[in-house]
Amino acid sequence: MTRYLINRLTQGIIALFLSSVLVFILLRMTGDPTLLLLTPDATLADVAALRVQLGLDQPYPVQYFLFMRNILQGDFGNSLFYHRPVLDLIAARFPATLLLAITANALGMAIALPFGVIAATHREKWQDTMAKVTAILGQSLPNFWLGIVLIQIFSVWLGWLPSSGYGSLKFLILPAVALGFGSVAAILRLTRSSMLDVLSADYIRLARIKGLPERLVIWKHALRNALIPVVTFAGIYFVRTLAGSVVVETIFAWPGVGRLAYEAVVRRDFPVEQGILILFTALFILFNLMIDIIYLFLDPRVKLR
Amino acid sequence: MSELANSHLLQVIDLKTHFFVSRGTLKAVDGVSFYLNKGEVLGIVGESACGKSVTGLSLMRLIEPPGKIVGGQILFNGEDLLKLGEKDMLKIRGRQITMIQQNPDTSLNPVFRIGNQIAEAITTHRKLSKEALNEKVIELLRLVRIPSPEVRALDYPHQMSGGMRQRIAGAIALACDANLLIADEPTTNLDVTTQAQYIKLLEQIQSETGVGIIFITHDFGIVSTLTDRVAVMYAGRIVETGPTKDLMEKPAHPYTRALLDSVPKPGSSSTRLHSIQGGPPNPNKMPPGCRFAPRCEKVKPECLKEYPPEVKINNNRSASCYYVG
Repeated sequence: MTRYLINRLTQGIIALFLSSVLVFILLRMTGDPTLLLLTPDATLADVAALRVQLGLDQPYPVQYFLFMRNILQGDFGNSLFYHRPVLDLIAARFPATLLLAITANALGMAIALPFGVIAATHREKWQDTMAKVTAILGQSLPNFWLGIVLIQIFSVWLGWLPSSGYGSLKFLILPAVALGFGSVAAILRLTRSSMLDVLSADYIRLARIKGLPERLVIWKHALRNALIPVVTFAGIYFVRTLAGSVVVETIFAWPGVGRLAYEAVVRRDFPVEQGILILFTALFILFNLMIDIIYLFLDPRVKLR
Repeated sequence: MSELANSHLLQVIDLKTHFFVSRGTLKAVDGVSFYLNKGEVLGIVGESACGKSVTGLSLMRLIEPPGKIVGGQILFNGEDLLKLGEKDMLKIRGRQITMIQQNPDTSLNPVFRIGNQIAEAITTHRKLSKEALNEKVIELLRLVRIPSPEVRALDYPHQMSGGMRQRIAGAIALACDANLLIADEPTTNLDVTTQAQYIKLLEQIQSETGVGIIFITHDFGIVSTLTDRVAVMYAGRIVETGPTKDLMEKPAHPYTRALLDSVPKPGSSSTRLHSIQGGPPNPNKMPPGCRFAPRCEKVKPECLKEYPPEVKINNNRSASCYYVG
């Protein structure tokens, strides 16, 4: 177990290092931020001065070295736009993103798990067909489209829910649905196929032989086993919604890290961009490790090596 | 036989379990009748896919679609199980009729501790205090000869050997002192030594508890050591039945004889083992006459026309063959 953790952490650090190089290179390929920061009538001398001030006149390897040294000291630099530390900006926005991701995924799981189980136990019946249709819709409808349609229906036509903003529960519903719907599709399908696998197992028959009512056979004996692959996927999906809520947050003007990322891209505020990318990469790696550990409790056969 | 019916623990009359698949109707069990007395051990013998496992599952009413019990009666203590609602059936399953499945590797739930799995078999049917329940679990583990049961109860199935897992399956089956135990080839996937130990254990448990056992197998060796009576099954029907010793010494049906001939005998000088020509008929297209006729060495024209009726050879032996009687 300890050895396993050390191995995984080492792998994680290597992955993190490689992605930091990638992020660094990619962002510098997108253009010169000084051109956006200065007014159009700035002279070449002004540009050069700003480049020196921001350290952009240094060769890339030197820039990267400084960048990494600062990061390792917990300094992700200052936003070119807000003139505030990147870490502070992200920290201020993170709770909103976390709230949205948790709600969206909880909503998705709450719908996907029971319907996945019901689809599996009612194979080829109308419940199964419904589940299939939902799954196809969830997988093919992009969340930006769904977000816009939800706004059109519930905010514009019905006027029940606000179209954008942050505050009470009312503001949370539409973005959470838009973000969570995609996970419903995937988790539902996975739960269904995993349940079908498990349901033909001998130990399910044993549960019936014992005289257990079907309710317990399905929801205790079968689901407990079927959940094992679902948890892995849900964990990965959770990080994806955490990092990938850029579009939904932008549509609903949700003040989270996703919108911060969007704004940073538009403003070519690359310290913010790279800060977000690197922190989320770290989060992704950390989460995968956590999923492995959760596995230990779900499946007693698993030994981490 | 009808006046005797009440003295039987189990009497199966003309049981039919068919599978409705796209290829047609598979008549896996097609008119099976037999009985079992209290405390008796009956062997159901036949080759793979003859319908013996389906018969066992039918008795517990655990046939899943596309399978369906389409006819017959299963009288258990005189009550027809096929007329019971699912709710009443739940009280019989595990409580009065129980089963040990074939594969010890997959018959226990991998995510629950074995102590809990045994306990569940008890609590499903009766309420016990925590202490009494623990005691009962340990007692059952002792009954199936699990060493240091207090420790082993906390194990997960994968921490045990195949033989132990199969004994745990036995403990679960015995948890509620059922009257009838259906053992569906419980030793097939065990190695020979473990198999012998298991059969011995089953014998001991049978004499200690007096449980009636239906032992489903293809192995005449086990049949001869364990069972009081045998029913030989072929292509969805029972072709011959009688007391084990008598039947094995003087088989009446050509299929029984052929089966017995294909068992190696210790001390026999013959180097070649007898094998039955051909294969069993497609359950989708059963021959109109005797189902063994296409493979039978003594086949005569009438065998191909109509299924031979069951003929009594003596008080407790019968066979379905035109050569009998």
